[in-house]
Amino acid sequence: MANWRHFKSVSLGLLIRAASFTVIFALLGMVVQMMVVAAPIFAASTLERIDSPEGVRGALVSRAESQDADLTQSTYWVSKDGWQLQGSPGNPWLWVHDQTAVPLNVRELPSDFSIAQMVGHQRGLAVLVGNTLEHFHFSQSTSINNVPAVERVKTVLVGSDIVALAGHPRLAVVAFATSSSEIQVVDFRNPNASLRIQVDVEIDTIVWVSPSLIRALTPSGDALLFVFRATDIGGDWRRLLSPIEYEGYPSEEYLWLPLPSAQRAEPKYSVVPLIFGTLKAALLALLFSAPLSLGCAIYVGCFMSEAQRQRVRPAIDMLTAFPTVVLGAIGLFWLAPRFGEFLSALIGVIALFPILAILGVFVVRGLGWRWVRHDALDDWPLRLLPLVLLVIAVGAAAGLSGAARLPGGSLEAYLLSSGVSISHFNSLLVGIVLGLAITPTIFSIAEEAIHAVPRNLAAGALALGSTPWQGYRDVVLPLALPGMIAAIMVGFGRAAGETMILVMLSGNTGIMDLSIFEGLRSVSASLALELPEAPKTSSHYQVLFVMGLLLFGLTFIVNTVAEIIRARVRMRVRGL
Amino acid sequence: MFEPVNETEVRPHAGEGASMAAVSVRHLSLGYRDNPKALKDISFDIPERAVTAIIGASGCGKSTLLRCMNRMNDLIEGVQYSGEVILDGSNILSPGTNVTALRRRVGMVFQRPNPFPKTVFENVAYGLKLSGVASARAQEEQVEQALRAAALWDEVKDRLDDSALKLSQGQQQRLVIARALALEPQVLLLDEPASSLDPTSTFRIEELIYELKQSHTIIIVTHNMQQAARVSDCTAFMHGGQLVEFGQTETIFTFPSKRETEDYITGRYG
Amino acid sequence: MIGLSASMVSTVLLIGSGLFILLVASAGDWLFLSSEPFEAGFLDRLNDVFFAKPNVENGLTGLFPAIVGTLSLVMVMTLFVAPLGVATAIYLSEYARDTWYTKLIRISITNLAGVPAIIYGIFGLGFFVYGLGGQVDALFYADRLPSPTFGTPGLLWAALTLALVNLPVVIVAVTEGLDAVPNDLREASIALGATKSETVFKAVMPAALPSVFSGLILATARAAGEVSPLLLVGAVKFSPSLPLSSRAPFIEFEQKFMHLGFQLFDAVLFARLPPGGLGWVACIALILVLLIGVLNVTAVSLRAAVLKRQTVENPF
Repeated sequence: MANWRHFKSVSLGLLIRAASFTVIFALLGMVVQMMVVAAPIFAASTLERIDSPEGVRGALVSRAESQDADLTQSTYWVSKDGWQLQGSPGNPWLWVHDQTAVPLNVRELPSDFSIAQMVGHQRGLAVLVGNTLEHFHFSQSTSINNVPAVERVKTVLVGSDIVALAGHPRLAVVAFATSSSEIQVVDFRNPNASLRIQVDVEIDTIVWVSPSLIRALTPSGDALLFVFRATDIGGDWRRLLSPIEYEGYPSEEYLWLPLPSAQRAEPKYSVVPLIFGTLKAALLALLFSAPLSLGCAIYVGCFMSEAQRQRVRPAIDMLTAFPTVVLGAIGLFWLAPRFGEFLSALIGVIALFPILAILGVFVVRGLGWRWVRHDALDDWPLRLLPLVLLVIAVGAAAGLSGAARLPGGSLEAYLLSSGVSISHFNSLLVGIVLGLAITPTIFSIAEEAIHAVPRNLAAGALALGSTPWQGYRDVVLPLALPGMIAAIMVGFGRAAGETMILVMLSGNTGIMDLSIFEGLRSVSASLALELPEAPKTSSHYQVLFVMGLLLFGLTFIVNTVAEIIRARVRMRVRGL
Repeated sequence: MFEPVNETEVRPHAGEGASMAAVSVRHLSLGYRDNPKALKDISFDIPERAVTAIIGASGCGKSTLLRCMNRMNDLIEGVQYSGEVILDGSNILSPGTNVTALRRRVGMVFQRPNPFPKTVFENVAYGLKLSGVASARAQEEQVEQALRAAALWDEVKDRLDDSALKLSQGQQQRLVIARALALEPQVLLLDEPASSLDPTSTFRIEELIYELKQSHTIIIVTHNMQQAARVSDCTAFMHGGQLVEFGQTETIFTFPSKRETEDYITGRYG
Repeated sequence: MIGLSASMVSTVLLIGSGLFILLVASAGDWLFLSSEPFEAGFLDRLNDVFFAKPNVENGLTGLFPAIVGTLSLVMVMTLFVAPLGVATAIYLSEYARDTWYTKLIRISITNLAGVPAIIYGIFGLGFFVYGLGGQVDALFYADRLPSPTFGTPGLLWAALTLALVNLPVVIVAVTEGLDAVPNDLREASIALGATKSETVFKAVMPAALPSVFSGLILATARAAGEVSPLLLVGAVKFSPSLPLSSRAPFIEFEQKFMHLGFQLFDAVLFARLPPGGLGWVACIALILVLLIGVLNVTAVSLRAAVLKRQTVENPF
């Protein structure tokens, strides 16, 4: 009997250990798995010789087909808008218009080149001058009189004589063969990492068969095959974070365009606009939420009796019963269509609320109604409900009538006349709704911090003749301040990770604009919208996982710091 | 009801109605939501510049009675008063009373020392700042005065800018007394001021009480019979929210007139 | 200043009730008063809201399948979360020694509770759907390949993902409950000759049971409202059949399913709403809010009951 009981105890213990280890490993393994998925994006590019093209997608093209783009014999290159670029070694490059046939000298391009080749989907130019390989691309917006301009992007020094050069059909990558029988690939996205393979035979022609397959031909007609593998960031992690000069764009930019509209264009993976959008939304949310939630926390934590506190806390927590998808829908259907009026009313309320609320309380107390008393703080929020409703109504009315008196008759018209247009999906709307979503979180943590400060400290101040507010302001709140900061941090983390509101209200435009009337695109929304569509071995998929890890790291670190602060506050308060 | 006998001098500005009494309690009853009859019809006069002890078993209402003197009971939800507490000729329980001003006239010290988490100086100067003493000079003078009065000056004069939490428990309690004294209150309420202290610190607090009663009216709530006997001039014995007996301490402790008082003092319950 | 902060409490209460009234009014206005889009009475309208056949043009469907989908998702998730979460909490609180790495695990789990759900969603897609699902297909459903059976978002993976989202929440809640049980109880039980597991399950657990339930209910409430991982691992706008079957185990784990929150998201963002569509949106939102509200209230009242009992047991 005792043995059986012992056995049962041991086996139950084992079962519990097994279950909990599973859970702990699953939770910690999650991070590892995400890292494993994300890691290949940082892999360096490779060049590898193969015997047969099996398993490498893309058809072989004949030698004749491949030569149409060779610029060595003064041929031309067609750009957009009917302009052609013509050049031959020793002569200046010329823009020639299809119809007017006006030749224009292109001074930016070197005329002492030996080989020129098109490269990339926008038909950039790789020009070999002596030992230097220069990469040019064309930008429309800096053009004069609609003539496309030419800009040098990068210069790469190559070692030996080049006998054949081929530009990648989609990316800013060139492959070439040297006189010393070496096949090299230069990736202009990451020019420091050059790939080379020594072969024993002489090569005189080199062709990209597919984006990943290079075919080199000997003078006798034998073909050698090479596989070029590169992630969409070319093995350079800085391309995720630094501004990049992309083909077709006039200047260095942060762009998130994983599925560019032009089919063959290079996907652009700068995570900066998304992180910017995330931070912008979260900070705006804090702007709205922090005063409201901390105000509530101060009242409930400082002035309410324990019994009333137990009733009011869940009442405020009830805001969490509105799932964020519902808040998003409310924002979309009820706020966005009349955002101008809503904003005018909100400005009125925010401007007048403190004055009117304080004034209102004074008036109510001044009238001698024993209605809100300092000795019955418990019921103030309920008793003040009609007053607050009135204050909000007055504030909203004032805001609306103020907006109507603006030149133009409404806030939107006024802003438009001063050069600011409100987009339908804008950051301010996101901030307001997101602020609502994080209010219960901030309130709950801040209120706990305030409540943890022993009440006899405040009693000490009261006994010295302070008003209740002075007592809490001077003694309790300074102690609870770190806890309140921790609450704001946790709220920030929640806002940064919130997805549904962002997806529904932010407009998902990946622009980096400080204006609060423009839309934004957040990391979380990108994950939700793009991941289901991204092929699971693509660079896009991997970059999304990198962003997931960034978001994870951000929230985890913010939460950990907040947790440490809270633990220290608890320790300090316990000693009082 | 026993009339307090106290032959020490009468303060010239004391209210006429109260004659020699610093505080007069008249038919005071108090109730709140959880305990509608916390105090029942209490009347007595607290003599000036003397120590009055309030004793009784736990939950008999002695702390509640003490907290009526500076209306700290206001913080309890749904509290209801009836009767009067007269200080300087006016009823402090009347709704028109300026409570914060009242609390500056009636200092209070709590069971556990509760210095603010600020420096020693700021602790004592806190009440001064609240009552509008802005000049640094005046503050320094009054802080020193208060600390001297609380017999703490010699110990802390070099550590005025240290955190008050670094002081020992006994020093903290005297600091809290100094904090109250800085406002020059007429009445000082002590709510079991020595209950969380060691015997040495307790002794020092008792010494301090003896000195302070030369200039202040002191009301002390205590659990400790010997302490009450040692420090007080008058004693009030409470039981079940009622004032059972009030009189000079020697009388109460040697010839209690009520049965409950005798039982409590001789340790039969409580 | 007191007046100002008190007004803020009032404001938050007003906002909460205002949002609720907004939903009720919009839904009620549509159900009772408007004549669009159906020329029918209230009962027919109600019938339409719940049981309408899917409308291809505007993508609006009766809500019944979505309600069933939501409930089955929450149920399957609870099946995973309840035993695993409680076991982990018991391990951390009762079995594990108090070392630095136990503390580290505890802090990590607390912080994981604050990690956004979308992160769990991408893990669910990468690991469950593509990883595990792909394996299951290769092993058991090879004949159906290349069209995936489990290697595609579905009920099981959605439930597992949501379980991961909520495990930290449940573990934290139950651990707190177990930590609050006074040590005397354990010592008393051991002193009576009980084994470790008897102490844990017969003495400690009953005392902590309310917090276990309140944690679990909060988790289900969160699961019912959390849509973002579902965008990645499961829910669809329209599923031809319910994820239920007449044969054991009665739930089709690989099936895609409909979900109230997803339905709302989809209706709002992608569907072309007919006139009166606003009322329809309000109806979904209202059902969701009521569902979560009821779960929340249950959890809160359970916790309040616990607090009351604890204060009676030890007055200090």
